[in-house]
Amino acid sequence: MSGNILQIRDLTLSVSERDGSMATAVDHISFDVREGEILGIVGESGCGKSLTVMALMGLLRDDVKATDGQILFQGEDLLKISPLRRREISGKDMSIIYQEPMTSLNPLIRIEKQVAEPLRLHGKVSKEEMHKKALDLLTEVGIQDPEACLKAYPHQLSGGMRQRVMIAMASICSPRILLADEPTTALDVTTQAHVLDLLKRINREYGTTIVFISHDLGVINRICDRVIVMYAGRIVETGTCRDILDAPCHEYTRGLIRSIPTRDRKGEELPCIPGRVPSVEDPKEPCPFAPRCLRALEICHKEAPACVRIDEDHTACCHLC
Amino acid sequence: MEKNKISTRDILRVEHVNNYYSKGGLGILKKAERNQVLHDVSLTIGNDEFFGLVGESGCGKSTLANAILGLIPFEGTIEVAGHRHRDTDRKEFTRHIQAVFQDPLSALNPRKTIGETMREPLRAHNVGTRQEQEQMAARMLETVGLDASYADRYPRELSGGQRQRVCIGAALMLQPELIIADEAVSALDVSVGSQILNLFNTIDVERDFSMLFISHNLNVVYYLCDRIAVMYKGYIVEQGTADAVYNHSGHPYTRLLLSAIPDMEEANDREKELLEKFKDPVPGACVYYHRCPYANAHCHKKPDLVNIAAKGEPEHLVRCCMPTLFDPESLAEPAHLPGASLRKEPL
Repeated sequence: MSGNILQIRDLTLSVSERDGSMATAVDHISFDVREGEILGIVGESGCGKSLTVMALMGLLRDDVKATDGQILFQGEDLLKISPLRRREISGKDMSIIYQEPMTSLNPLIRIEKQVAEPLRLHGKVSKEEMHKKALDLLTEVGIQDPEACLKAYPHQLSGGMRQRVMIAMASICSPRILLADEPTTALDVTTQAHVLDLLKRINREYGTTIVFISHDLGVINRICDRVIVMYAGRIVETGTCRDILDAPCHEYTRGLIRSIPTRDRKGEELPCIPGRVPSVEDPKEPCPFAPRCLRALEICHKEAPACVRIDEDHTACCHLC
Repeated sequence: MEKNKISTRDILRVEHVNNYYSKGGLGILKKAERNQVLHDVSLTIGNDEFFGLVGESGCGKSTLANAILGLIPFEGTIEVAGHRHRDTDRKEFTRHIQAVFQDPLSALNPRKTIGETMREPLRAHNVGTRQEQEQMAARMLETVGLDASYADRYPRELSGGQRQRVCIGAALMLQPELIIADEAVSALDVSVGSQILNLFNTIDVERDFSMLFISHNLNVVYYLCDRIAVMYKGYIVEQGTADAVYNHSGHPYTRLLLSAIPDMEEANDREKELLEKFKDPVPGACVYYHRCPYANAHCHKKPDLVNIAAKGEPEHLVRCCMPTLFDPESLAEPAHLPGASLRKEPL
């Protein structure tokens, strides 16, 4: 691992409300993505993890604005670059896989054209070469009959195959960063295991940096090197996978891990986190988790907690650690 | 507090149910080409029992649920609390069986307040006066962990977890004997999903009902249910007590599902291999043949469900040509199949 490939500094994303006001969805988050790692971003719905990744990719909806901060990629601030430069980067240096492969593939275009599209846009490559590259990649991602697959339309493929096609499409220009937004959530457990193995292999063999979003800590455990835990638009804890899963420091991370039904919890009451995930419109607390925290002190409702360094890589934003 | 109640009578009896859908073709040709979705499915759910049904998408879990609810035609017998679809009025039937679905927002009428939604089953069946209905709805809201004041709100004002609580409450209003929960926690956040699982457990103590809990997540099913059935391509391949199926699985498919669950175990276990080995299908072979890592020449026939439980133990059925493949006492690899090297291959 050599240095940081992406540096996110004080990134703030605001959503315009119907009444014209702005609500902060992602609140001054800073983190680094290291070259060659698989970084997991975990959190429940509405915590801002997808928005963050969309901001990295420059695909924010019209009603979401980056109001502060920087995203530094090779010395460039991705929030300030021109749309033209953005198109050069998208698909070539950075690409993305979404949760639902069916909705991200065009149902009217054959797989071959879709998989080769980034090549057509980014490199001067002959048709034969494109065909060969697409064929190689489909074989690489584990599609058994790649020739037939290239000629197929998306609806003819199973969910797992479609997600493999998406991965092939995203990696055809050998991007340095692959963003994956819940890529396995819509898949069966067995297919999920295969797709996770595939992403891991891409990371190992090509050194592609992967930013992997999930709400499932089990999936994070299987694939990630480092983990960022987000809650209500803020980063509450970061650390290596083992730090976070074996020795979590933030009460939210602890609660999340405790509430998963596992083998030895049969019949017991699950220790769950009371309350619900705050929505963007809810009034902001100094510590976003304080209202649901079982161990919250007086200070938690008054002062925002600073991020405490627990270990070399492990930090948590909590008054209690 | 594992439930060890002896079931006095069966709430649900599903016997030899088959279901088909026609594929392609037109008019009279339709019948010629029909796909079988459910193959001779039989199961019973006892009084106050939680029964889990697991399998991958497309295995027929929801089709079975729909057949039990009477939403699709089927062949065979389905009896809910002693009532059969054919002999019972559709409305009368809904007194005995209710369902909770995956997405609570689409299950609730956006133009009705929560109170109206909760009262609807009572109104449809002419239970009590308007005032009594309101009281019952308020009480039910408290049972499912919501304040009675929620009765005046609309679904859009509630969070996903709260909406699912409303759905569960509405399903329980008529005190049905059987609840069918089709992926009821899959769409919820982790912390909220666990609240709903706890809710099922606490309501079960307060009110007597049985549940058919359908999920693709074996962990959740194991946590909640007394007995589990595993389905694969329309067949029940394994069925038994939660402990037997989860901890002493007898079918290779169940073991595959278990090995695929991404869990929180240590790093060494992360490189877990999938117990899967693809080969060419053989006509007439066991339905799981092409994926089974242990399949051999014995498997070129359709296996029946065999009870592999020891004498005196609760029934543990496995649909496998080599039902003694796994020693139910341990999870050791079968000794007589050396070098069953498990190769990972894509789907």
